[in-house]
Parts: sequence; C-alpha cells; structure tokens
Amino acid sequence: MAKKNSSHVDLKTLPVPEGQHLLEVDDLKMYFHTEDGIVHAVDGVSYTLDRGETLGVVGESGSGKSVTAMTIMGLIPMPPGKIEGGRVTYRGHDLLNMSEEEMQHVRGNDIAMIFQDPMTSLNPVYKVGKQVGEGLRLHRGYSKQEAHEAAVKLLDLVGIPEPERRANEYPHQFSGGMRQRVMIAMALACDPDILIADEPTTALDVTIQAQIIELMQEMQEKNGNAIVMITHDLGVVADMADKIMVMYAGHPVEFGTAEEIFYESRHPYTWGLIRSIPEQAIDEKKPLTPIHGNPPSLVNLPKGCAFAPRCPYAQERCMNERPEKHAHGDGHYAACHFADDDAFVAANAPDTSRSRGEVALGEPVKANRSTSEGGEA
Amino acid sequence: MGKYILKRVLQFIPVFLGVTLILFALQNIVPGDPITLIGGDKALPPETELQLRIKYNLVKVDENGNAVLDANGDAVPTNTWERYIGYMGNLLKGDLGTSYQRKIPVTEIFAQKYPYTVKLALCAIVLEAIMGIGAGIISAVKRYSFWDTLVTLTTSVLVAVPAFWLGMILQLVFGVIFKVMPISGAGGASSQFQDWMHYILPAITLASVSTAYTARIMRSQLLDVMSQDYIRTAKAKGLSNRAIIWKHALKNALIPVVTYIGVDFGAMLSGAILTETVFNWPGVGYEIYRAISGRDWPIVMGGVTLVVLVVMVVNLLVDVSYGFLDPRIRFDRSSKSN
Repeated sequence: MAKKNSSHVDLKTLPVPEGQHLLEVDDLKMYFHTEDGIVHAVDGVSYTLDRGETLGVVGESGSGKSVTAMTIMGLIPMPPGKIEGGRVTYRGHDLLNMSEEEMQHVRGNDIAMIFQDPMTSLNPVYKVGKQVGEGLRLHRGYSKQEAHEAAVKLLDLVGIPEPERRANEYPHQFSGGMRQRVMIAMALACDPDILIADEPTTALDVTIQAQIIELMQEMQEKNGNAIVMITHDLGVVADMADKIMVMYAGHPVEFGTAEEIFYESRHPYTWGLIRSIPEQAIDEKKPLTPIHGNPPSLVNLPKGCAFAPRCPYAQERCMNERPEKHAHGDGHYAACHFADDDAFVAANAPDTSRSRGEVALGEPVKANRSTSEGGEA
Repeated sequence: MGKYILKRVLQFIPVFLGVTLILFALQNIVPGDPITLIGGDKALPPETELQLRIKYNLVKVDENGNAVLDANGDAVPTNTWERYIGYMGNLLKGDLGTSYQRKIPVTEIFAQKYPYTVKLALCAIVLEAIMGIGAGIISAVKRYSFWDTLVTLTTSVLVAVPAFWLGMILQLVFGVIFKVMPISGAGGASSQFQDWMHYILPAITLASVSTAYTARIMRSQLLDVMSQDYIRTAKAKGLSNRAIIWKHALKNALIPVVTYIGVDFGAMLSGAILTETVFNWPGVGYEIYRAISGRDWPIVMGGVTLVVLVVMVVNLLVDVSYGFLDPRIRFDRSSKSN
C-alpha cells in the first residue's frame, strides 16, 4: 500500500491553517472566450466549507453552478475558459495556481466529484469493479488484487447487493440508480475531504432520488467529508444542506443557512424557487408558481440586476443599477436592492417565510422545517 | 457465443446458394461464347468444338458419350438448372471444375494464386492499421496542430487518388526513376529479401485509400469519445491525460475502426483487381479479371465462390471480435438490468 509517488504529500492529511476553512472560494470569476463574445459563466462566487458540512448550490441551468464546481476541480478546458479573478484555497493551498500534475493528486483523492448522468458517466468497456478501484491504484498504489477487494467492499458499502459478482459486471448491466451508487462508491474510494455532487439525482426516478441522497448523507456521517450539492431543485437540498447558495446568471443572489434560505429569504428569485417546489402544491389552494421567462444570455448581461427582466417586483432602479450584497446577520446575504426593505419582504415572501410574520406560523409547512433540522450535522 | 456462431454459419447457406445461382444465370446473359474464345482469332474445327462442349458438359450427351443432335443436326445445349445442380454436386466434393482455356483444375489454380493475394492483403492491412490508427490518434490528440492539418490534407488526397494511378506513379518514381524497387510480379527469384521488396509498392497502393479512411474514422471517433461523460469522470478521478487517452478513450474509439479494418481485410482477400493488374500480381483478383475477359466460367465461378466464402468468414470473425472490444454486444450473455 505504499504511495506510488512517495515525494508527494496528500493534502488531506495536512491540517487546516488557523483561522481558515477547509475550502474557501473567494470572488471566483470564470469567463469563457467564445466567438460570440465573453460568457460570464461564474462572476464573483464566494463561499466557505468545513468538514462534515453540506453546501447546497441551487439555480437554473446555465446559472454557473456546475462551472463553479468544475473550476474548483480544474476540469474546465482553458481556453476557452479563463479564470478572471478570485481564489480557491483548500487547506490553505491555492488550487487555481497548482500545476496539472499537482491537481491530478487532488482530484479523486482530496476532492471527488460525481456527475448528473450515471448512464453515461461510467466507461462502457470496463468492469465496474475496475472503475471503482482505479482511483485507489492511482492515488494509493494498490495492486490490482487490493483494488478489486477494496472495490467490492465499497460496492457493498453503497448498498449494491452481491457486490462480489456485480464488481465483475459492466455498467450496462446496472440500472440508473445502481450506477449512481457505483459513482458514489468510486468518488468515495480514496476517502476524499470534499465530495462535489453535480445534480446527482436529476437523471433518476423520484423514488431512487431519495435513496441516493440518503446514501450520500449516510456516507458523510461515516467519513465526515464535506458535500457540495449542486441542484436546480431547492427541494432536494431542503433536508440535507447546512448552507445554501442560490445562483442566478453566474452570480450568487442569496447565501445563507438552510434555515435562512427557506424561512427568512429576502431575494425574489429565491422566493420563485421556493414557490416552484412541488411539495408546496400538495395543498391545492397553493398552486405551483413557475418563474416566467428564461435566464439572460451570459454574453450580454443586463446592466442592472440580471433577474430584473423576470422579476415581478422589478422597478426602474433594478434595470439600471446592479444590486450590492445586503447582509442580514452572520453570513446571510441577498443581492437585491430591496432586501433591506422589511415591508417589501413581508408583503411578498412566500408563506414559508417567517419574514411574513404570524401568517406562516402553525402552517403545515412546519413539517418541512423539522426535516431540515434533521439534516444538519 | 457458440450458438451465435452456428446461427451465422447456417446463414451462409442461403447467401451462398443465392450468389452461385446469380453467377450461373449471368453466364447465360453475358455475351461471348467461351468455347469460341478458346480458339482466339481462328475458328476451331467444328469437331473439336463439339468435343470441348461435350467435355465441359455444355451440350447433352447420350449414354455412349455422343452429343444429342436436334432435327437440324445441331447439338442440344444442356439445361442451366441441370448444370447448376451438377456444379453444386461437384462443389460439395471439393471439385470446382476445370478451366476452359488452361485445362487444369480450378482448385489447382487458386491453390497457387490465393497465397499471393493473402500475403499482399496481410502486408496492406498491417500498413493500414499501423499508419491509419497512428495518424488518426496523433491527429485527434494534437487537434488543429500542424500534424492534424497534415493528416487531414494527406487523407483527403489519398481518398481522391485512384489506386491504379497511385500504383503507376509509384512504379514510375521508385522503379523507373530511382530504380530502387521492383515494379512487377511477386518475385520468386534470388533471395528472400528481394522477394519482400516486391510487396512494398503493391501493399502501399492497396492500402492507400483504406489507410486514409482508417485515419479519418480514428480521428473522429477519438474526438467523439474524448467529449463523453466517462472521460470527464476519469479526469475527475485524477488520471493524467495520457492515461485517459490510452486507457479510457482508445478502447472505445477503436470499436468502429476495427470493424472498418476487418471488413476491408475481407475486401482485400477477395483480390484487388486494380492493384494486382497494375503490378502484374499473380493473385486471385488478376486471375478472375483475366477469366472474365476470356469467359472462362469455371475460374470465375470457382474464384467468386471462394471469395464469397472468405468474405463471409472474415465478416463473422469481425462480428465476433466486437464482443471482446465492446461488452455491450456480447452475444448470448443476457444483459439484465435490475
């Protein structure tokens, strides 16, 4: 089990420097230079993450949530991508300035990632066991036999029945949910500090979705890793995230604890997302409310608030002036001109929000809240 | 797997019957009488001609071996069906008949010619695989570089150039101007080395167009595979670019390339008429070409029959090889999802 490259030190074994977090993303900007112009895919994203924590990153397609994660992993081809600013530090080490070789030690070993579509994310021509054990051979220098045995154990751990037999099967012999379990086993193989999950349940049946999320939580309890959960569905992160970042058009529009986002949100886009969670429609009196329109082109962003053209409360000022981040308590912020206007928030926030005052209290949505607390580690 | 192969072999029978039947029918449609052609410019004496027709079972004979004559005193041609059945009967015994013009058994002719075609095809296919796959990989990995442009341009030219023209240019340059390579025949003279020299130009000529196609298929497949999700997964695992290409991308990208090369090998084994003619190569392609010109039907029939068999067997081998490359198409293992 000797390290393949003994001169290399696993970053995850190093202590987090005093006063820093496990992962710190600070004002990250990733632009794509295309023939049509510069795409501002990620424009000023900041967050921090510690071991055992779960961060939910929520937003529509094209809001920059995946690009943020891929940038941290160094998976964005450059060009066309270009980092225009910001810092990403992991245990005090700057990830953005690492060489490709150094990043290869980080990927899969310190920070692992699972992807949206389990049907296409596994190599069709290699046995599942081999793919799960590959990271161990690479990062820990396991022999073929050791890697295979470890892969069988991992498959068992993620709840795949008959792991001994299944390890010798090919991906096409697995169902979608089982393949996502394989992806999780593969990502967790080297016991990473951070697991980035990019819409891991989007391609799965609703019944399977809950199982996969449960599995990720279970694994987190065992390993103590941090999770970055990327999704377009606020409902998915409702009961698992400690912190939530809501993104729109490459910008974080609201950031806070799960509590704050669900019950004290102050951004109209967050409200729109809350209103479009299907659970809210169980009570027939509360219809599902879509957010009308489409996200703006990331090449020609409106000069004011990016959400203004779709915002039901937009005013003259929103069209012309880009909103600053308005802080509300420790860490919670919303990028809206009216976030400080309590009367505006009270009048327009969804029923779940305590900002509305007594209206929300005693409502059936309380049940939602208790699950949210259960998810906090 | 065994079941699959058996099924495929049984499918040979109708294909085989169909091809031989069409060939037999063609003999009656194509103008030109084979027996008259034996004489060349001079007409054969009528008696000799009748004897030849009797010998090759082209006219009906009575029990004494004499030709059956109709009311006008002309010989009565045998029924095509009867000849077909007779031919197939002999075929099952391994008898392909006797050449009209060369008067030796067809099996003997092909036993002599086939090795030359097989050896040339092997040289060409090795060249095609190494050059085509190599160029395709370089082209895809160094996309938009000088090498990619070079490969793309060269393959475009090779695809457009007819094989016989390339063959003649090679003969002119290496055989006539620089006098470093033999330009005709398959050797058979002084030394092993000199014999091998005979293979170089025909093999290049035969492989040229398919090498260009192989390189293009390889390039596009590799680029396509490199954009797949599982490549991103491999990168997220921490694999180096080199490991990703060699371990994860290549095996996937090779599947269609191997298919193409396999089918092409079948085509080469059926004799490259143009290349063999340009280089005077003593192979089956040239032999069949000469036999068609001379209406030497037994050689045409025997040659095409052999070629059909070889192509079917090679195609079967290609299909079976899929299973080793791509587990999704393993034949009798049930791919059950749970």
